[in-house]
Amino acid sequence: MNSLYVWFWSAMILGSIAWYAILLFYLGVKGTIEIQRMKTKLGKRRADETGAP
Amino acid sequence: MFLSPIDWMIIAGYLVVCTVAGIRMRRYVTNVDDFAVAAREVESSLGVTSLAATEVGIVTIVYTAQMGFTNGPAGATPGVLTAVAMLLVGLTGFVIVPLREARVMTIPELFEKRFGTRVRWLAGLVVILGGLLNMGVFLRAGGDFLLHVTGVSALAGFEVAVLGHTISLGYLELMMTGLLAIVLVYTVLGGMLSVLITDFLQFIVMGAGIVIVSLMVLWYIPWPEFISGLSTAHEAGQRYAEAAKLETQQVEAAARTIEQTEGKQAAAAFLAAAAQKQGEDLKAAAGELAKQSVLVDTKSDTARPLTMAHPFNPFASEGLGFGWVLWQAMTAIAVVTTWQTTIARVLAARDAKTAKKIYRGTWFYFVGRFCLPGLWGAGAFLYFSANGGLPAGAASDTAMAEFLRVILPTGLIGILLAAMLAAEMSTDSGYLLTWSTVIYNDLITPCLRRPLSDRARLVTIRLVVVAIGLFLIFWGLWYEMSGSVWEYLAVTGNIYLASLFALLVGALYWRGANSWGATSAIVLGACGPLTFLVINAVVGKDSPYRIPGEVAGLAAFGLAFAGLIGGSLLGRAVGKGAPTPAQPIKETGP
Repeated sequence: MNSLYVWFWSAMILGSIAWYAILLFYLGVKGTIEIQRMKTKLGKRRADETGAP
Repeated sequence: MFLSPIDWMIIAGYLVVCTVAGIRMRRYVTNVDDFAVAAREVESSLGVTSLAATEVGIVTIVYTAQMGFTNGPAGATPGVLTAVAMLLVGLTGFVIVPLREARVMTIPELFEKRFGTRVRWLAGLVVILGGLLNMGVFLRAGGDFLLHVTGVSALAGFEVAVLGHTISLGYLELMMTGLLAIVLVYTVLGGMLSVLITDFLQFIVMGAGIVIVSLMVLWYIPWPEFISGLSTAHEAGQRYAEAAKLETQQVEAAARTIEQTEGKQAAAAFLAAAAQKQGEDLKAAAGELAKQSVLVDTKSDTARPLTMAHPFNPFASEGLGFGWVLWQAMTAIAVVTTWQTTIARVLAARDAKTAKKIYRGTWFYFVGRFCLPGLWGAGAFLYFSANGGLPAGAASDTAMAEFLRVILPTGLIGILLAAMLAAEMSTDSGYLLTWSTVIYNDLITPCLRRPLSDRARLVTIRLVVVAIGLFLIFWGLWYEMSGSVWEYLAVTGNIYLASLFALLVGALYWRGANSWGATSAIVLGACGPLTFLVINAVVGKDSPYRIPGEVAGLAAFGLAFAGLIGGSLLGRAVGKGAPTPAQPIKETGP
């Protein structure tokens, strides 16, 4: 029983390190793209509202 | 101070980039919707990074490391429970789908549609009470950690003469006030848009720091040694606890004999003298006890022994226990469906599908949120057991910071500090914005006779952000934490988690719920945690009359649901309580 718990926590801790490392790269790239898209959209809306070019 | 020029450059570079990026977003804010929910334009990846960054602050790192220090990996049980709850909600859409489709800005706003303005106001008040009390300890816990890592005493500071008076200024207070000022500047100017961008940067810096530090801990204490060391520490701690229990029983028996022969006063004096002697003995034997995996906490007034509970089985009686795990499971479900800072990302999501995607993308992050700082805390226990005990003034909440200061080389300390600053700033900004939105939306707006102009609304909500910042500086920096940080946070969070969770489930899924039930749920749900806070503050740290956290927490959930059901049935029986509205809560607008 105890070794089952040890295996479980080993998987959780080591898996977390790997998951954090993967997420850093994956979300780093995707998040940058989404920020650009959001800024373009908000900028366009602001230009429409103020009539600025 | 242990920082090198490289460390300082990393920290300064991070702060400048983050502040500039946050301030630049102010140009896109034209109304309260932009400010509070980023014009509902948040896509899934940005939502995930923002949610992840907000929910990991220095206080998170401190309490999860403290749990690891006292309970080993089993201390990460709340993280696993939260992750499972998040995955289930992300797959089923439970609560979050109807909530997003209602197009509200806060949860209390939803209650108005179902139960009326009074319930919305009362719910807003409870949310604010729980949220601000919860956030109140962030600054001190964060400052304590930063000072321990840099090797500066938490009591260090300097004196300045102002108009003939000498004022003492502590480094901790100055540093955290400065940090909060930076966060306030970009949050006040750019609202959720600034929070999203800075959260993204903070997610990257914090994630890199957490991964690097975890690998360093494992390099310092290899995994097989870590596992066997924890088992040995637990067994040794058990032997010590049994011997200490026997000794306590002997002292109590002697006190009873004295009470019979010399009276109660003499017995009380005997017990006080015995406790003092025990504390002095512990301090004197700290080095020897460390060899038996018993560390001595010298931070408190009376020295206390710290042993490792069962490091792997959270249900074990010498560990956290079944009742505690059950309370945490209930809290996890309530947090992922009700905690306003988490729900703010759901409400800012482009649509309900994106909201579910954000949850599915974040769930495993919550495992690491507890497991990795827990690894650092457990590593600290093993390190200090093997190296003569805890340093003077260190305790379970600061041992991890002392440990990292020892094992991290130049440059990595800078990365760790930048990561921790990132964690603190993202949490502070997210929480400031969330609670100010609730105050504005649910406490101020319902009291106004005429709606404010767009500009006045924006100014009001910005002023509320500043007011919360000022409250935090005064409350957060003088409040002294006693006991487990996590328990304090969980109980203060329960002030509103239990009642609002019951209410939210009732509002969305039970047509029989009415305003009588809603009011009863809010009041009764808040009673358990408030009683816990008041009684435990009055009776003191070692009193047998202290209420355990799990009792207060589980009672809060039980009372809230009982109030919802009982109040609604009673209201219906006497023909009172707001009727269920004819229109559905879901809105059909764009």
